[in-house]
Amino acid sequence: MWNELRTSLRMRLALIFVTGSLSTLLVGSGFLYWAFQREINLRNRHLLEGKVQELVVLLKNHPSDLEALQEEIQGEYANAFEPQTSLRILSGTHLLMETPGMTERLPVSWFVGQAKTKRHHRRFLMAQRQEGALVIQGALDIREDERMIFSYRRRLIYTLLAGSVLCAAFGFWAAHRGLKPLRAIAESTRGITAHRLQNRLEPGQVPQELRDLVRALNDMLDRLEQAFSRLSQFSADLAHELRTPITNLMGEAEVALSRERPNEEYRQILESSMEEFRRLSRLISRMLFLARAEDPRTAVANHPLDAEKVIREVLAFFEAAAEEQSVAMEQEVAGTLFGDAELLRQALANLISNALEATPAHGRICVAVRSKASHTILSVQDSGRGIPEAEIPNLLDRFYRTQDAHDRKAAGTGLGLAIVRSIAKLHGGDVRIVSQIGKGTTVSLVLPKESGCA
Amino acid sequence: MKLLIIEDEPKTAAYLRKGLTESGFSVQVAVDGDEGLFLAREGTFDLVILDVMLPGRDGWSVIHELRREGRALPVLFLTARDTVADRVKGLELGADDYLLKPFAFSELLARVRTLLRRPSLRPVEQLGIADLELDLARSDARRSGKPLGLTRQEFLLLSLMVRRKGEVLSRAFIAEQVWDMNFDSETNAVDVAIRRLRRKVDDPFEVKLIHTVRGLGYLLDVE
Repeated sequence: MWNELRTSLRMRLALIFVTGSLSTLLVGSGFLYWAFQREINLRNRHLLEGKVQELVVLLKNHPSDLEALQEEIQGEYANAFEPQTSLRILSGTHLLMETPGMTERLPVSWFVGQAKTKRHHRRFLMAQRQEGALVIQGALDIREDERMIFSYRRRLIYTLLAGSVLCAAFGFWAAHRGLKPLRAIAESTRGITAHRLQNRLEPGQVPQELRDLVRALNDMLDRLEQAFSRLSQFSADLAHELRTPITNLMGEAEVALSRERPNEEYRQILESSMEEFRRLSRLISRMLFLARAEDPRTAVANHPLDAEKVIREVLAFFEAAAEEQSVAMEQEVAGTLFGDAELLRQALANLISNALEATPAHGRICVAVRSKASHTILSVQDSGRGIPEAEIPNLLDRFYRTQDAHDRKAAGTGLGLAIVRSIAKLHGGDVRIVSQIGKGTTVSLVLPKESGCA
Repeated sequence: MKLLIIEDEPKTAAYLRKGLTESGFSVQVAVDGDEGLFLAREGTFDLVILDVMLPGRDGWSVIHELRREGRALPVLFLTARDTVADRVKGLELGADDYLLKPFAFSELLARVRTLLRRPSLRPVEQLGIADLELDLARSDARRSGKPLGLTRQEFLLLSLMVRRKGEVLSRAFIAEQVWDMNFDSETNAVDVAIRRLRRKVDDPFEVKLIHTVRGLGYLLDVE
């Protein structure tokens, strides 16, 4: 029960409603009851005190007119068998005059020491006044009124009980009905599976308060759908990448085993297989690198680096290749580089390797570090063929190869730039590519500067 | 030299045994962690090649036990799981080196030899093979007494190959040792560097020393 109360929105809403309406009902009827009772009491008090006052006035103005007094007191008796109002006049303890039978119903002793009008045993309202040597005592029978109040109270309680039941029922019903749009959303959401991610919820069909929720859900679905399609595209690409080397391996082995061959031929086949295996192995290690880089728990070092040294070391690796191609390599460093030296070297190596492929003889490759207000730019510029503008947005995707690379049957895994981008992302930065056909390409890593406290 | 291979995958164990035996090691294979630990405790092995994922007692536990008992024999980890946490764990437990599957056999061989190599008391200053002489102190390389005129990188590359003469060196291993490039790259930079080195070291001479082993890498030897 308590658990349900904590977890069920419907229970909570219903309970709030029931508590609210019940307390209103309770306070309202309580007030009505109090006002009704007070009204009746006041009226009775005025009645009684009025009678007593009449006697007092009579005694004051016409002290000798005993007949009038008698009439005043007796008159009560004349109205009913048991008079509503009883009055008597005492002189000290000696009874002068009284409504007949009053002493039996209301002994004088009941009034002793009484200064104010009081109720007695829910049966009488009693008042006493001292006027010179005389004491005037009056009493009003209120049993009828008390009965009325009692019955009023009983009805109020019945009404309250019935009201509570109605409130509770209505509260649950209202909560249930109010939450109907939520159940409708749940129902629609149930219809969305990995195979039917394109389904969306309709924000127009839900109450205003839930529209934000529905929009947020739809946004989440958009992101999921994108991620899913990327993932399945990726699996397809991966399978495709694996297909070529494995076809080669299987075919070569099959043909090799189909008949006896000289040892030299077996050797050649194994050597060819080795090349395919290397390709597969490189593919796996690059895929693993990307997977690791995408893991949000992967942290990278963020040290200030000797940019010139980092660049010089990577350029040294490519020195021989660049000289063979008659390509000049330069570096221009202005500013400090922050990050993980090993990763940045890898990114640079991938970029320079790409640049060397794209740059014809007597071309030029420039590696530069520039400092901006909030970030540092590490760029590799080549004077190569350039990349058509339409291809630029796809360059950073895994397995994407330019038309040019296809035409030249370039042997890469198509993961080099994807790795560069993941390295930039690991540093909290990104990659920018600018290219002009015939003029060359510049790939820049935009890296945020160290925040100072890290 | 006696090696112990603890590896449950039969094909891996078989080719490791074959390759290492042919490279002149005496090899014994254990197929699970308990057997491996039992054999390693005998104390007759010079090095253990240990797979992490084993049935029963895993590789972590084997090395943990060995180090706890104070055995210092070198352990080379083989692992298919490449996370930083795994590597750190392996090295913390006392592994001397690790290799990530898939790896090249030449890579494994190179690392095994590195681990087994006793640090020499006197730094080697003179290296050589056939008529090739290297003077490490002066970065000077000569064949038949004639200076070869190598650049610094070329000298580093040649001295690596001479030190590892007779071993096939993979491109990745060369890139790592000479240029400190600890990651794979799709470039032919190593091939170009070797080509240029050959022009100076082999082309002018009758006896060729640098050989290409197709699919594997390069080898320096008299042949």
